[in-house]
Amino acid sequence: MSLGSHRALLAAAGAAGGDGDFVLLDEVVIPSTAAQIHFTSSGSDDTWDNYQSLLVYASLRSDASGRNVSWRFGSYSGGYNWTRADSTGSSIYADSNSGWEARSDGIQTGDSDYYSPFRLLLVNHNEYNPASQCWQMHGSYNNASTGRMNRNHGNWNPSSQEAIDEIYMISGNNNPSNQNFSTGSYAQVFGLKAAA
Amino acid sequence: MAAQEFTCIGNVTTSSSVTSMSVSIPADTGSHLMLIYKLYQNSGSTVRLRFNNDSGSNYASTNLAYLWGNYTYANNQQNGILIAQPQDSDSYPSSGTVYIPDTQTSGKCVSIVQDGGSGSGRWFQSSGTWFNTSARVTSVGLHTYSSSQTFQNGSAIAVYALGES
Repeated sequence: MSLGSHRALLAAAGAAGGDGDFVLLDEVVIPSTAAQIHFTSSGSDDTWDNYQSLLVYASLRSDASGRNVSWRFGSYSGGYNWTRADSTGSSIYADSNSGWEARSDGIQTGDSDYYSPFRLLLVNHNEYNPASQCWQMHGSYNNASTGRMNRNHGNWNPSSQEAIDEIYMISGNNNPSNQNFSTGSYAQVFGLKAAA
Repeated sequence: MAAQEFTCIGNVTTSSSVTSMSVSIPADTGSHLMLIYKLYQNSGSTVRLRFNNDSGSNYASTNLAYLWGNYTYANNQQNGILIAQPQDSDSYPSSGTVYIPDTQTSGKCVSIVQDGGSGSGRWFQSSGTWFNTSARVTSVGLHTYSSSQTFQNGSAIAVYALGES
């Protein structure tokens, strides 16, 4: 990982229990501020190809009000496509997007102490040929005066198909250096084992 | 070191009509919880999630729901996080999962991601925040809208905590 602090919660690879487990592989806690969180298979407590699917849980806050969360699975590149349903608290709308990273609009708030939950499910992240990678996302924010919730499903079709072995979570979008995750934000990546 | 896994730390199944179901959260419990529910209700009103039995106006939530038509609403300064709106029929219980990413960090609010629904025309999702930032979470529970609404026989919740297996 590149920023924040990891907690080594697992021992060597293969010590993660039996089939059907829901295993914490890595965790990042932001000690001050950080523009992004970076998970890798090689930096986790067990390699990701030992699991059928991955699940990211996070509790996030931005240093800028109403900023987005974005994520990508490698270097900035094209090939991300997603459709979302957005609940603003007063209206619902859906749209489709594409880009060089995947994005959820408006799931963070800059209000102090108010963190936003985030969940990203990567189903069969090792299986990429011939199908593209896909994800499901749920994120939101709420404070004392407003709230918003996003659901998102998308695909990643990189120019060279590959298994997912790294995940970047980015504060903001397109120019992540302008925003940061605030102190106390954290993210966890879990591995989901196949049934016996 | 042992693996980190979700373990059930408590569950409740009602055998009579009640207005709430809750599970205590021990001090040594991991900070990441999941709550799974299945609800029968005698009224089609909203169900609220509360921490530490706090019934003050310390919650906010936003819905993305289909209630025989599109529906969304931001519920601010409420006495609980609205997580479901079951129908008043035993034929259509509501089920869902509540994710609570952090319960024990001092000075941080609690946030929730939830999926849930009910058959026959209702599908309800919400997410919310608890603004009591000083207290550790000692219990989590579901509550009916008021004392005139009750969870019916067979309603159940189960709470899982992330910790060493």
